[in-house]
Amino acid sequence: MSRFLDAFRSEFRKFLTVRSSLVGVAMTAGLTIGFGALICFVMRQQFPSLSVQEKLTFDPVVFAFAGVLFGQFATGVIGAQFITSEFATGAIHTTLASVPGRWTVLFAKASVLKIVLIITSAISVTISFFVGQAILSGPGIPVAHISDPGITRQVILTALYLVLLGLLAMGLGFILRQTAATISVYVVLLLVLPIIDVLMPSSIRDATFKYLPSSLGRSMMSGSQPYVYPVFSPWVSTAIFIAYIVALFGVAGFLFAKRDV
Amino acid sequence: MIEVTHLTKQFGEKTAVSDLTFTVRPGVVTGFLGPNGSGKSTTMRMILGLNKPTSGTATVNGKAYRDLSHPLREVGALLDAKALHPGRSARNHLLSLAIANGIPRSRVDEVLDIVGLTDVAHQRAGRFSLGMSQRLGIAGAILGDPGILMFDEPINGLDPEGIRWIREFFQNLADEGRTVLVSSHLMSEMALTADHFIVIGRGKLLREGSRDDLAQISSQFVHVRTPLRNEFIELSQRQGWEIREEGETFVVDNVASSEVGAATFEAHIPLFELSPHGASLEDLFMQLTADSVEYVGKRRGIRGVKKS
Repeated sequence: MSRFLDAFRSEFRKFLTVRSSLVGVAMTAGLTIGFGALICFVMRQQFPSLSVQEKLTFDPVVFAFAGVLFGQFATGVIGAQFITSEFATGAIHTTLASVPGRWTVLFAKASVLKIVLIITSAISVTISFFVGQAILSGPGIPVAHISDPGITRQVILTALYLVLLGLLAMGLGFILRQTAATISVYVVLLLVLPIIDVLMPSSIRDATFKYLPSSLGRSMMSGSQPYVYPVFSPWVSTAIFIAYIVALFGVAGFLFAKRDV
Repeated sequence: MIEVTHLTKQFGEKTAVSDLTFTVRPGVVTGFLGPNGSGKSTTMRMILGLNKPTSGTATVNGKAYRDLSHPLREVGALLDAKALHPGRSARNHLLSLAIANGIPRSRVDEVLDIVGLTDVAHQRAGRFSLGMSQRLGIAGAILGDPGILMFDEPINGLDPEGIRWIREFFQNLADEGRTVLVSSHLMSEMALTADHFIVIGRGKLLREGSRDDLAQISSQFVHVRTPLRNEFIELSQRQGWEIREEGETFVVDNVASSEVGAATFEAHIPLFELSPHGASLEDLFMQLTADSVEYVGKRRGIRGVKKS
């Protein structure tokens, strides 16, 4: 256990002493809060011209969290870079000479990332919520209060979504070992896969769409309103995403422990 | 003590290290020699657990490297000086290693001082020259005050002053009773640095021994110059010496110079030169590894073949 704690503290220092990881944290916060605010501002202007149907299903929280769709790429870069930069520079040799237990290194890195992202995304998402509602609040536009039923769940699961995405990128990074390849696969999973799936025959689409990471995220972020295609409930989506991450890290750890570096 | 036993590593079809067995003992600098691509680095990486052996074992102090709980306190290694994140400062790099191995922070400043990097400790390591990176790598290797040290081609990139410093440094480490393994593809450098030699080629052990052991197997010969050339040739035939002519000079193989001197004096043959020679360690190294050099330059010139 002391071995793990030493490795964890070492990885924490490594994370804090590289500029790119700190830039990544700032980007996550900036993109999430900034784009959330921007989109709420646009919606405020457009609200009067929405149809009655659109006005009835208007979910002010979803718009406040729109920045997450941008912030998620910064999160992915943080998670991926934390390990792929070591493979790219050869620093992984020094890391493993210092901490030879491969699983120890994997869990130490994942723990550091988890803690950094929990703090970053909890703050970003909470600020996004309040800033978004403040911008939207105006004549006739419905806004949410943090004390409204389900809102805390929405805030927490949205923050958790960003954390899980960072871990997804890190798991991919351990497997693929190259920054470019890792980010590419990450973007394909989040952006390309949903587009392809939507183009599938509806029977296939309706059966598979809800399992995509982006769909799980939609569900975790959304309120009670149904989505265009069938998705799981927020809690089921969360459980599925966590299962994905556990499986991914199982594969990542197995390969990392087995391979030469 | 480093023990390597029947160590073999295959990368696909290619055998990088083949049934290698040797022991590196404390108290002396051991030179690990072989041409480029002969498997030196792969062997060292297996000792550190970075590469998994296809078969055989490598242990440090009787244990596999991955079973060491704080490895930097037992083994310090410098394999690749550039194997660090270029954006992190030298001090933070060493601190991360110290923290992972339960080494006090004060030791970081100590080793920075030992290698002479105190002034640039807060600079990003990526801006360092190769020589400075080597020093930082050495600082990392000695951080945990380990009993075993391994250096892969540490002399590359050092200036002459640095080379002298590092030779004395290795010798001091060995004098303190530590196990010191230093790899190189240049015998001329190791001849000045090491007392014990492990020579490999194409992943196989070619020779292991002390400086004296190696000197014994190297051939000795005598250079002779004399105005009475025919008389000397006749004498050689009577004595059963093997001689060759190299211009003015006769080369007498495997005979002591004292024997040649006494016999020529008896025969009244005046000598202008009588000099004993032993093959240098460098010659021996070239002989040993001649068949095992992996990538050989084909021509000495740089021009392509002329088309006529």
